Amino acid sequence: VTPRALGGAAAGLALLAFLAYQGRPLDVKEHEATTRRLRQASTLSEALQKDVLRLRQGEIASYDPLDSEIAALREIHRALSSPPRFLGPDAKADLAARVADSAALLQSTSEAVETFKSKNAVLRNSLAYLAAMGPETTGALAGSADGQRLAEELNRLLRDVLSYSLTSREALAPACQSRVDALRGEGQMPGGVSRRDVDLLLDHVVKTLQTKPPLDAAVERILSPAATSKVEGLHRSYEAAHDTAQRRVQRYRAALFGAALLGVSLGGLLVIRRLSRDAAALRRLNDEKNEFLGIAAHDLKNPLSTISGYTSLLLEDEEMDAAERREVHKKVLLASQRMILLIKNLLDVNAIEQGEVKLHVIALDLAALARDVHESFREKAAKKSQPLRLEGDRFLPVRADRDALIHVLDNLVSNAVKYSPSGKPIVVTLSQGPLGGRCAVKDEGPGLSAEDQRKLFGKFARLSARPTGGEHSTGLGLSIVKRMVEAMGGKVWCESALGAGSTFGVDLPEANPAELAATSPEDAPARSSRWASVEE
Amino acid sequence: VVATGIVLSPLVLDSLAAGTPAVDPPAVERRDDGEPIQPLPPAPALDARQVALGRRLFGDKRLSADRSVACTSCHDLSAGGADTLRTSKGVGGVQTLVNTPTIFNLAFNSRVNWSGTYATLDAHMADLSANPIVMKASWEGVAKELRDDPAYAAAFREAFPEGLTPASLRAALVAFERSMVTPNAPFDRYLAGQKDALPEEAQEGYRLFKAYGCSSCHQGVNVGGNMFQTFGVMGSFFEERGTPETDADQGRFNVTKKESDRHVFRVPSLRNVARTAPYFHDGSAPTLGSAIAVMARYQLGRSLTSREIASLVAFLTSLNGETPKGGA
Repeated sequence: VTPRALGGAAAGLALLAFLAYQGRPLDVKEHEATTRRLRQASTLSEALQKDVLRLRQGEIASYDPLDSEIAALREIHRALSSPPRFLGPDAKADLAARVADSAALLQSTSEAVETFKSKNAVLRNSLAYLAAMGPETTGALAGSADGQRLAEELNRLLRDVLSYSLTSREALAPACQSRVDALRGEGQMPGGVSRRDVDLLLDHVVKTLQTKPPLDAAVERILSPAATSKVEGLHRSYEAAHDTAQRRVQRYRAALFGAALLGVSLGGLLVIRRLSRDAAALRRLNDEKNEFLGIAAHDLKNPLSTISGYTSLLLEDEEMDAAERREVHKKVLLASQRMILLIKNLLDVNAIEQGEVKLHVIALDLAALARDVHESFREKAAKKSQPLRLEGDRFLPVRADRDALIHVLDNLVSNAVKYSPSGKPIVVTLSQGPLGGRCAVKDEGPGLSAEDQRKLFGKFARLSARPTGGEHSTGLGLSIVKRMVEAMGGKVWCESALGAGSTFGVDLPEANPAELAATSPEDAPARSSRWASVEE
Repeated sequence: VVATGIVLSPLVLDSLAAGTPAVDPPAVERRDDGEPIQPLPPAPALDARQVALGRRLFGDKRLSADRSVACTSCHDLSAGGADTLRTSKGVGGVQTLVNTPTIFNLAFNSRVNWSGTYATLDAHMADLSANPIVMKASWEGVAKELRDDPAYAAAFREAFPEGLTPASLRAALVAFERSMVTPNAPFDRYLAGQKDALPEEAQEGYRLFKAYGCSSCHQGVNVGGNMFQTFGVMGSFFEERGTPETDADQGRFNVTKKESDRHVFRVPSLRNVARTAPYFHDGSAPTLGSAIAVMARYQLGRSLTSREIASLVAFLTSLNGETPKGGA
């Protein structure tokens, strides 16, 4: 699992979490409570209007319902003033403004209701008084000799006041008022009617005339369509805001579903790719193994054939003298030694691959080791008339396993000697590299094709280049070198072109020179017994 | 992970939908039997521990600045929830400006005090402590002092999650006020169908009460307490009272400063009225009969016979309920 894959997965999960959060369902309880409140507000507004009318008509006689309705409406407005949290900020602000607007109207309505209660009580009482006492007084007046006119006057006044109280004939008011004024100026009443009783009647008439306009105004304010339409508008705008919020949630849910689906598809794709890559790698490994078995069997067959052939010769040819036999024995020995070397190399590769090799990485002077290796190949190179030169830095502290590094350097120089034609120079150069120390071995051999360079460090790389002095090769050397160098944290490389020679190099991590002085007295043997020699 | 997420997402999303409990507005109770008066409902459901605390506080003189008066000094729970004086003596012996109203059945009034200054008992209670004529204290100060009383501190911790605070002090007192309901008045039993609960004379009084228009203002569960009215609809009470007009006589004008509210008062409840003499905001009517006569004269423009007044007194006396439990 790469960090990039982890990052991608984390980002994907964060996206899903965000979408899931945004797509969470609206708070049903809050929505229901709000809807219920709005519905109750409508019901209450209508009930308030209806009750005011019924009180006005005398159908009911208690003002308690009005107070309960207004208290409940206040409570609802208070609750609505904090809109549901799931609404967007704009919708919230809009709704809160509408609620405040409606609450202000409710306040003015409740003031009108107070006026209504007071004035309605007064008007009812005066009308009741007129209804009860009016006929009695007019009857007494009418019964007397000179009271006919006054009785008619009073009767007409009472009729007009009643009519005024029940209708919207506002023009009756001034007419009634002037009749009242006229009757007030009449002085003593005939027919045993007391002046005081008539005055009380007139007082109630005046009270009726005074009370009706403000009462009507209050009723009009309470019954104004604005009161109910405000609440209904509130309900409508809340429904719209809720729908918007609902659509937003649905969009996020669709996105969540899409993203999740995409995530699953992507995950599946990655798994399939990974599996097919693994399958390809396994196939390659199997091919390599088959090839390896073929090559190994082939390479082991040659010396065995030699051994077998010479051994039968020894058995069959009884005429061979001792010197000849000794020569044949030497050849058998050589063939079996070559087999041992090959098998040892195979075991080395295996050991490195299985991670069974413990490298003891310490600070070393790469230059000193290179000098030793250079020294050990001088004779061999001289035999092929190859000038073997050592150039560059005299001191290169690196971190490496001593035996492994000697084996690597041996191998590189040995290959150069092996594959370079006679007389061509070989140069070992020591220098600072990108990691720390670098040792490069340059020859003027046939060079390597691009194809060969690719296969170079694989097992049993059988390249087009052939040893130039009849030497043998197991084809395992460079693959061991590569594994060793990488195990030490270094890099092995090759630069070459066909016909232009090759340069093989090894880069190793830098070491602190002080550490080198402390840990590495230069007394270890230059050659190791832990690794199969590249020499045959 | 993704597949599990998809499978679980409905569960996760639904668990996110857990909502807040909705607060419903109070139910509106209706009785459309045409009667202007409805029987008292039972006292609202209250926390008994809070009520008990409120009752103790109600009789505690530490609520006043000089520890001279408790709520009970003016609101005698055994005598109609008020005192028998025209006006009372508040903190430091200062004369109050108006006659002390009863604290019984306040839960059913929609306005508090003579001018209807407050719409709720809580709002009224908030201002009461600092009133220089009543307690001249502060809720903070009272709370601080009572916290030193271990018995109070413990009882408050039990009754209120926040313990003893100015707010919980007030809440306890309001809970107690709301518990002070006087049920089972003979008139309520009569309304409930028990015809013999109301003597003949009282029944005649009730008929007059409706016919003459008393019930135009004194109506509802509390026989008043739910509206405003001008004192002197049919005459000038204050000119004819015989004493100079005071600030307190201006009534609701003192609250709203509207000319139309001059001499306007909250219509008081007539429940237990026979126990709360003297009458009116100024305590100017020493007896129920005299109060009825003044009302008839100045509110209704009528003069009543002594027989009618006696009937009305009989009716109003039938509004006396049972003194609330723990009150006496």
